[in-house]
Amino acid sequence: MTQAHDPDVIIATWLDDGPIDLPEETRRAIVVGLRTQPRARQVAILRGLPIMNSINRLAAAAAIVLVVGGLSIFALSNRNSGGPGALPSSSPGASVVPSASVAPTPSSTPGPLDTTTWKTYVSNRYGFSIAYPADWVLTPATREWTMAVDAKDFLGGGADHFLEAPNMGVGVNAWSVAVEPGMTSAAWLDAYCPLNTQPCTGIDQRSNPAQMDGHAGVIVAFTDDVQAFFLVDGRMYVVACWRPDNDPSVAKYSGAIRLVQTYISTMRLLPGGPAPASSSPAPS
Amino acid sequence: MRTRLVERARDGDEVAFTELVDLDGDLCYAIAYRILRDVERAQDAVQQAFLLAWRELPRLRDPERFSPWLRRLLVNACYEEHRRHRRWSTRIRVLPLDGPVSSDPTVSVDDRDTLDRAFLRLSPQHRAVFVLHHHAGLPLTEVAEIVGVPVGTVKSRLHRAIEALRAAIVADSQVDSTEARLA
Repeated sequence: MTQAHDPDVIIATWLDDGPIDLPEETRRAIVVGLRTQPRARQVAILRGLPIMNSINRLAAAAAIVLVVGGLSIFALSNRNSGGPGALPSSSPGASVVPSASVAPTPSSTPGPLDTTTWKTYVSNRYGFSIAYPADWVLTPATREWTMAVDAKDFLGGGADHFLEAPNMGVGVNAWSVAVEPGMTSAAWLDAYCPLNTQPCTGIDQRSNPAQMDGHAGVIVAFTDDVQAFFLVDGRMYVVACWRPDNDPSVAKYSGAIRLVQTYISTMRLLPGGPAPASSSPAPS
Repeated sequence: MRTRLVERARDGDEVAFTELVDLDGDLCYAIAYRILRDVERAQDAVQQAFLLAWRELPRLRDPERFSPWLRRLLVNACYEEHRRHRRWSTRIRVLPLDGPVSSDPTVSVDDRDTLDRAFLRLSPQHRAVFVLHHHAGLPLTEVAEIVGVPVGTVKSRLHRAIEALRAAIVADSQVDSTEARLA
């Protein structure tokens, strides 16, 4: 066989053949399209804050302690009155300041959407099954979710992704992660929230009680997203919609809260729990 | 430089984002075309991916991850284009009237047609790993991250894609030699 008839040479040449330059009309369409696209809001980036010297840092720390301490006392007195969305918290001060930018979650929301046509996905990696609209695009997680990497990147490979078709305007992620023994939902949220979303204060006020496969948890509205959290047997299960509740893109689902409610209404924990990390391949 | 552009674009700088389109657009288009084997659908997929990137860029914490993040959006857009096209053209094969013409004599028109047909029989998931690895030159771990499957699955998809293309070429050459003998 000569080199010209070597299948691998033919395949390589065939693959390299074809256009390599983005047509100018497409480039123009993208540039013009930018102006019509609504943008997600930027999450706070700590490194953008001015650098403080030690004295300023001490003063700021003291001020924070005073403010947080005062608000904690206020919040604890409120919490004792028994709000329905209150989370057990190991550090109550971090999540009690009401936020003016996010409306409190309504105390009674309509039931889930009709899911009779939804498809079911079984996440052996994370130990649950969950349904999603049949015309959405599923991308399973490629690795275990970690706080350090995936809390900062909502499109990373640590979560199962569901993207609305055809324009992928709405995305929902689902994953679970083991939490340290004895850690409460609120303590986990205190660590997770600043890396992922905002505001991280007033979470209790924006929480609505929710049920996932018979387990109690909460749905929380943030500025740019809505997320549900369930701490079950030392594992945190999270379902997140990356749109604010009142965003036009989720109007067809009656809002992001209702969309998340619907996702979690279909969620079932697998009897054996998540597969061991080393043997949990995603479906091909 | 790219990181700075991503940071500026994340802050809403359209000029910076346009520069990113200039920097990454060609490779995105080359990848999309090779996955979809269709000029117009490749353009649509690239446009869709960049507009989604612009929309969601404020959420991207780590600017260093822009490229794999963008490729992931692109591959998802290709899947969607494939699915949308399939709805409209089930059982209809579209002949590329104004498609790219092979300029390399190593690949005959017959070979090209054979490979096109064999490739289009593969799922878009198989095509994506093949193109990302063999055309874009990405390592398997990065391909796995982009398409959202474990490395083992990427390897098996690559193997399947290459075998299918090789088999098509070999079968085609056997038909050619049989026809030549009969003639």
